Amino acid sequence: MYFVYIFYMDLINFLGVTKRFGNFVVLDNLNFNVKKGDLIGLIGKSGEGKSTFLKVLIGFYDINSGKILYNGSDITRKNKLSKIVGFCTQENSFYENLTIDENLKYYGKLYNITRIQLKKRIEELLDMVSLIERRNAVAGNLSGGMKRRLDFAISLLHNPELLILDEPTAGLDPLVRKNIEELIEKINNSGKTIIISSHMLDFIENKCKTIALLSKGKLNQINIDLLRKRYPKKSLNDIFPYIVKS
Amino acid sequence: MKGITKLPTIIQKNIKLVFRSYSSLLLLVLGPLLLILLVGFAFGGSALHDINIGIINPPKDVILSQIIPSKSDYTIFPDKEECLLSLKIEMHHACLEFSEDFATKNIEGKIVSVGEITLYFNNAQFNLANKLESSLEKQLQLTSDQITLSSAKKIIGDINEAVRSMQETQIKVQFYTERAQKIKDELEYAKETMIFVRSDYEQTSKHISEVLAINESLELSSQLNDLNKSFHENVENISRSIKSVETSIGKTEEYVNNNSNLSVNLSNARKNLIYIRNNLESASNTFDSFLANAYDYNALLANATASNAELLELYGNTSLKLNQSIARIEEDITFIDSAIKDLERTNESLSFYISKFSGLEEEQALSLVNPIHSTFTTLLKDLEKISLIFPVLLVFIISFIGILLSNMNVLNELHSQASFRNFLVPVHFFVFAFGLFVTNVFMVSLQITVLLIIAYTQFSINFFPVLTDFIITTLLIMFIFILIGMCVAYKVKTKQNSIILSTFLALGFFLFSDVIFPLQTMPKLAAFFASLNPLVIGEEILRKLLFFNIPLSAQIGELLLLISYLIVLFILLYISAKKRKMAF
Repeated sequence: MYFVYIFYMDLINFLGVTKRFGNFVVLDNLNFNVKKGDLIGLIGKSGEGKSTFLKVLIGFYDINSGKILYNGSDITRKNKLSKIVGFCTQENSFYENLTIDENLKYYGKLYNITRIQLKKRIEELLDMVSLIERRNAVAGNLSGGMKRRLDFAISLLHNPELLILDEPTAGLDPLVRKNIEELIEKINNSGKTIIISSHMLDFIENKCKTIALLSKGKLNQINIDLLRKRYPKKSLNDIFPYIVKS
Repeated sequence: MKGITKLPTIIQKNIKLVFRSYSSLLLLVLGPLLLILLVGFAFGGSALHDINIGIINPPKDVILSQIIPSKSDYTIFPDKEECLLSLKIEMHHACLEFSEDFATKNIEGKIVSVGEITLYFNNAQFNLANKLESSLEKQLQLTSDQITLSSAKKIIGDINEAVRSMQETQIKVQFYTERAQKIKDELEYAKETMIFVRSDYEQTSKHISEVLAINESLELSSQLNDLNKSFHENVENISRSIKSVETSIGKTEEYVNNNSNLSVNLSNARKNLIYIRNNLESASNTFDSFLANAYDYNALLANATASNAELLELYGNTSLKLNQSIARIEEDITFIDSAIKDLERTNESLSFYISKFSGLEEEQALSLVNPIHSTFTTLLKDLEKISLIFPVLLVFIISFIGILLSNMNVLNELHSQASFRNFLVPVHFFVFAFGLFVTNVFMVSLQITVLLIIAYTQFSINFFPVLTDFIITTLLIMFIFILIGMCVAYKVKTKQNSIILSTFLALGFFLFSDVIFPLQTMPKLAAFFASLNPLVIGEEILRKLLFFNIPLSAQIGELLLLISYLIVLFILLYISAKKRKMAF
């Protein structure tokens, strides 16, 4: 009953997932659960395998062992994750020489979205990321914040249940960063599950319910409220070295 | 393949990206346009020009224009080192050093140069050196040939003159032979006559000798004297006898007067005796007359004998002279005979040499100078240089554009921020690679089309008679080089290295082909590998196709080789693209 409950409740489950590159173990028998609607902050020291973990999560890398469940179904060998997951890389991932509209249409077609649905979806997304007025602008000519928002829109084109954001506010000025953070919150509030990999610990501390700490190939999911209780009056920035060590 | 239906979307996006950049667009259209015009412009000329030649040690009276190619300037250098220095700094393109014994000669009224010339080239300027060497060699060979030709013509002229002289001499020889033959005949006749005369003489001499001998043996005079004496003695004896008889008779008559009969008889006997005496007297007279005559005759005979003796002596002398003359005539005949034989031999020899040399004409001088007369006939006549190099040019351009453009396009895609997202969509990674391949084919085709339009309209290169085969071949070559460029882009991670490698590969295909050096000049192994170069194969197919209408069906070996390359390269592209995906 317990497992049934967990599977029923969890959107994604990583069970004993191991990923090696040759003899080098990056993810070591890793377990990870994502509940629908979660906003999870993925933290860890540089070089601990966050990118590898995210690429496994988006289905880019096959795993060496373990299982990946989606809504309780084993999708380890089915490569279904790309359909479930939307991914925003640290750097924007679209064609700078295409317009916003063209980028969205191009990726929409690749996701097998019908023409009518795509049109509707583009309208929704552009509205959501506040780029409807600039839809015919060439992506390369957009501001940093706009580019970021376009990237979010593209990641959400196929209406993924889980959105993974890798350093979404890196390189942005505080105002734009705030704007992006608000957008993330907005997307999360729209029902999307979000995993943010970021060094912006204050944002994770303020917005995420759970942090996933990746260290030495293992992943620990920590409830942010528990952390606050344990380390009162201390920010995540302060306690990060301790929790990494512990 | 998952997402293969998305191929048009991917290609559309790729083309849109390329065409969105005006510089790319210009490059796509203007690039080949400029390239073909540039090549057409560059290959328009044929002869060397603006060549500076340094002259070392030019002999006096040498006509340099005979030796130096046209459209060349020359500078006279005081020494070799200075000229070579000028050659090294490329102020001059060749140095010509004349030998000390270089001189001019007058051949048939033409002043020509004869001697040794040493040519110095800067072979660092490889192609120019080759061209120049060949041009100068040709020029010098031409001059040399002209000189040799003039000499040969003169020799032939001399020979013909000699032949004419020989013919005249032969006529004379024949004339003298005939004359000598006649003289010989005459001499032989004279000799025979002399021999006959000599024999007559000998016989006459013999007779005279015999007569003389008889005369001598006769001693006619003494015999006549003896005869005279004896005759007269006999006459006297007879006269005495007759007197005695008459005396007797007279005595008898006296006796007989006594006897009539007997007297008659005795009278008769007297009468008879008188008659005998008369007769005797008459005989004596006659004999005296005869004797007188005999003496006269004897005197005449003596004279004749003396004359005969003289004659005999004369005969002896004449006979001797005749013998000498006959011997001389015999010698002369032998000599004349030998001379006739010599003349005949000379005549034969003259006939031989006349027949041998009389066929020579001055026009044959060229075949004497160049006994092997070569005629170079090209299969493709009336074709301009640009047309001839068109297959090479086309394959070369396809290879360069194919490799570099596809490499750049793939690199742009792979290094674009968007490329990672392409791996997240439910489309097989190879569909993107294939989409890029098709895009590259489209773009290179566009360029080649521009190039072909220019080639057709400006340089009259007609590929329409073999259009289908031409398109198939061009596409095959294009696919191969595009795939090579793409594989490099997928395989080599950094942009710079990838571009450098593609450039090197393009250059490698170019240099390791027969574009610069013919395969036949390469070492065998290198030539074998070079013959497998798709650039070489493509060029060969197009050459046969365009110039000789040899269809692809007749070039199946080459075609299969290109198809094999294509298959291997597609496999390599797949592997490279997969590895590249995993490397993200």
